[in-house]
Amino acid sequence: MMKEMKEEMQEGMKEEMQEGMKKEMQEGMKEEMQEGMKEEMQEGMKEEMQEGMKEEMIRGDTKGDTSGENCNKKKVLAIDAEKCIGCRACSSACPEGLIGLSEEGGRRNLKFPESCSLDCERCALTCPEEAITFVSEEGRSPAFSGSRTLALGLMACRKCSASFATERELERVRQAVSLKVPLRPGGDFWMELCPACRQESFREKEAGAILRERKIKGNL
Amino acid sequence: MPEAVYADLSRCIGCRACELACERENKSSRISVKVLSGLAAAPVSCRQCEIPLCTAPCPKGALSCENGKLEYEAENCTGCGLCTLACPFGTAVLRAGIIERCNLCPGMETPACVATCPAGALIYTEPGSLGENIRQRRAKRMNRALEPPAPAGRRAE
Amino acid sequence: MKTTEKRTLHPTICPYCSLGCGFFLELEEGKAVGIRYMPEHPVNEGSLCPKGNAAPDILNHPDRLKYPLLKTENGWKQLEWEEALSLAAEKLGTARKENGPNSLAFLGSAKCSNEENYLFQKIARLLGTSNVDNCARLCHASTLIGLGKTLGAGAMTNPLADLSNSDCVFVIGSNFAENHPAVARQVLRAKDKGAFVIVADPRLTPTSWLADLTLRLKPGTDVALLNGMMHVIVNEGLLDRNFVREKTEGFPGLEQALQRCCPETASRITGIPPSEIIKAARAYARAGAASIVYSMGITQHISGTDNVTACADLALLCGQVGRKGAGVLPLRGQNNVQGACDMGALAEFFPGYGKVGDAEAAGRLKTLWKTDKLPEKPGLTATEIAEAAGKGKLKALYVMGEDLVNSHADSSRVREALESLDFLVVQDIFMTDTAEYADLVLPAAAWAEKEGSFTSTERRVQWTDRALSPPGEAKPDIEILLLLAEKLGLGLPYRTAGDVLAEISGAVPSYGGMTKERLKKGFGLIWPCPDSSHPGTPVLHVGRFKTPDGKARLIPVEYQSPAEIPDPDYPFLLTTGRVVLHYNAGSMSRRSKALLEKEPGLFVEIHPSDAKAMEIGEGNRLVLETRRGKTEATARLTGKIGPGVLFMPFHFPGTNVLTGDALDREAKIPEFKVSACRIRRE
Repeated sequence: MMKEMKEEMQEGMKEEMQEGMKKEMQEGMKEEMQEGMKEEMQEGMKEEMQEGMKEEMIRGDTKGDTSGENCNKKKVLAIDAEKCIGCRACSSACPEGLIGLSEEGGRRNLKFPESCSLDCERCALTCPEEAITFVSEEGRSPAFSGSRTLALGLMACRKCSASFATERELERVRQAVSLKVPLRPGGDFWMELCPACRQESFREKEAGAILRERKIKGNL
Repeated sequence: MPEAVYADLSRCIGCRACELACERENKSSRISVKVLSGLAAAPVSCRQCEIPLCTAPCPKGALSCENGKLEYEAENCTGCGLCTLACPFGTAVLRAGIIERCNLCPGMETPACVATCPAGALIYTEPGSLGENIRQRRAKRMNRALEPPAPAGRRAE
Repeated sequence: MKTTEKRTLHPTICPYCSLGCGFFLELEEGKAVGIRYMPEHPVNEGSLCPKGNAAPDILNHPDRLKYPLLKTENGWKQLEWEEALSLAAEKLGTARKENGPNSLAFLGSAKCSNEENYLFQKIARLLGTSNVDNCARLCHASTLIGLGKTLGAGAMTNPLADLSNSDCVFVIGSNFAENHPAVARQVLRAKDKGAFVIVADPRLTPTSWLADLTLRLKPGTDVALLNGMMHVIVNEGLLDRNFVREKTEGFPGLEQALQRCCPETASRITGIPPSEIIKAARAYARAGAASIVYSMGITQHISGTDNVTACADLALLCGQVGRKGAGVLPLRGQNNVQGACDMGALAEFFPGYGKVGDAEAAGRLKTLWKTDKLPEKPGLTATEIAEAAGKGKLKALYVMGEDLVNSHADSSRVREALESLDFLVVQDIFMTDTAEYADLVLPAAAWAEKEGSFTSTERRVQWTDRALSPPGEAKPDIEILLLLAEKLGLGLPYRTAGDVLAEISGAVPSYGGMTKERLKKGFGLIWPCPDSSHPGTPVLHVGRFKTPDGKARLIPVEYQSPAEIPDPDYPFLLTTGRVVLHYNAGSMSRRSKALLEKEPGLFVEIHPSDAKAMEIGEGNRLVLETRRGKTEATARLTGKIGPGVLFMPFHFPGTNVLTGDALDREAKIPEFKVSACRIRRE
């Protein structure tokens, strides 16, 4: 059923968009749109648009589903606080934006909703740590009734001091990386830098020789 | 070793044509040029690592590496961004839930950034064929810079 | 962006700078959707600078002018072409009848094709005035005069690719790494072969990065440096005596004048240590083949012509002209500034550089044009046109593709001048700041929307075909001009650009052998190409110079200080120039989202020590003020410039509010490069 609807929606939207586009074409379009549009139509749409469409679909789904089977059945998110590394994948996956995200005082806070009525489970599917599960309200155990907010410690970049990842994310990365290549002591200094500063230090290292050379030439 | 885009910094003039070309071909630039101390410019893009660490933490195998070729399947990508934290060079960027990194412009003979470089500073090659060449040139240049220009040419008499 | 079957590739020439780089426009359903590179092109070898990469942004831009517009009390009113051109013809005709032909003036465009500029100046001159000029006046007028009187031809002597054959490249007043990036390719190639590169520039630019020796002279002291170098060369006997004796005139005068210019004197004026002046002189003179590369750092001074003359003297003294790898290479500005000059869109020259006022030149043209009357006196130059308009001496001005409000010096006065005109027509692709002053705006086609030939800085004439249609009702400039000529009753006998080129080949001797068919083959022809079997002339002055007796002239020049030097009231020296991400007045480059994002606004470079003394921080807004006006810009602290000097790019409105209109006495080029300026924090 999902799939059929998806196709229908896509067809419909395409038509709508094409019509809209024509109008805009006549009125003179914005630069970005002109550039991007055709390709997007051919190659499948941009991420945001996909997101938007899915959102529509899900809403349509609950509205359209008159059997009441799905929309009435409330589900409860069960979060395994031990497993969650705070990567935000769930938050960006949730079509309703129900998973709140904030950073303050060296912590990343994830605020999960008590429940949601959507038939999607995208947050659970997307979670790299499988930290999210769904249980039906009846089967709700007291263990899950605790705080719905997780606060995870953030790491500050050693160079620019900006918080750039949670401690757990980095730990997870460190583990995975060390399975691939042995990390010698001192060989993992980059792990404590934010991606922008990693790029900068790489750049500086690369340019070191040429900078020295140009300075030697004197009046530069 | 896999082929990649390398920069000869003694040639780079910091014009950012590579960024513009990449932006036009890929919607966003996967190469970035910055000027250091007003004396040199350095472009940085994906190093196309032989053992790409970015694939290491990928939970659903969206980023994988086989026979030295990095593959990315957007459908499997959870958008968790762990790959961006595993790249030692900071060249993988997560934008709108998709990983953006240099894929060497598939379908083009030469990546756009290399083709457009006015100074011929970007080189698309295997790293092995590269090192000696640049080092030799650099040594030659240093010698020239440190010595006064030798009388040359027609009027040697 | 993948190339699909629906897409077609169309070869074209970049519309930005004067190098004439080739690339393919990628078209889909009549729209430009991308770029493919052209590795086989001899100039850029496939490469493109950031502006070239952003060139398609100009086509299909929503801001493009699409209909003729008339200024009314209630804003712009859309007109039919018929109505618009009748009006233009009527207004020009009335002004001519009531106030004489010299109450009209015409500003041609170094962005338009040879055919269009030829037609443009022909219309002006058939109407009886030589008040026709183009923006070369603002960038390389001093080259035309300076190289004209020394070498006999005001153009680049050697092609760009020949730079790679030089053993020494002496760059003075050119930041080609930013403004002509593909030149870096050739200079680097020369370096790979062991060439010694000298860069003389007050600023430390990416071009200086390529130098083996950098000479950071004070702005406006180029003649002192060049004279100092020549003094060393003569003194140490490094000159090419045979060359000087056989191929030049005037050495004794030069030798005598140079006696006063020892390196110590030069050092006091320029701020460069004498040892480096000597080092540069020896490297240049001793090289087997040496080239001088210069640009607006040389030309845009009140001593512009002198600067150019001194460059030519240096080259002649050392016999570094007329051979492979040895030449004088002025890097020009616009994509067709060389062509616009060749076509006679200049107040003092007919097509092919016959002097206005010279009876023989006029005679030839009268026969060709089948007319018995042509202007007998040189007209007003671009700079003088603005001045005359301000004084009410001009009634009507026709501007084709030029934003003089932003490109001329002292823009406040330009604005006043435009306001005092009875009638102003602006023909352009965008509503520029100049077009805002117009009574009538005519929408023109951009480069890829029309056909015609363009002459690059290396004298390479290339033909481009039409790739796509102009937006709305916009028309190629050539069509507009032909329709206008008809309304003016001039009855010009052409239908296409090819027809016009056929006449050009008769009017301009160095284009004698050029036809559309020949230009389309390969990558064009390098002038002089006097007849249909001639292959073109990549290197000028081989064997003899383009002077009547075949000998070049050595002309001594004396250092003069800039028109305005810093004083207690205006303690900073403001110099202007360009950055890699924008182009000239910016009417095109500022409309590219990608370029604007990277370089979004007007900035001013200030030395950290000056900034510290004035408690100015990076990114502070500054108010800059000169005797002409004031403007705001964002501070950039950098050691690229010396203490006491400020640098501003002129791509954004505001810079030329500050610059002065002191002119070079011969070339009438304004001194954009030096103004006295004061600053304060906003």
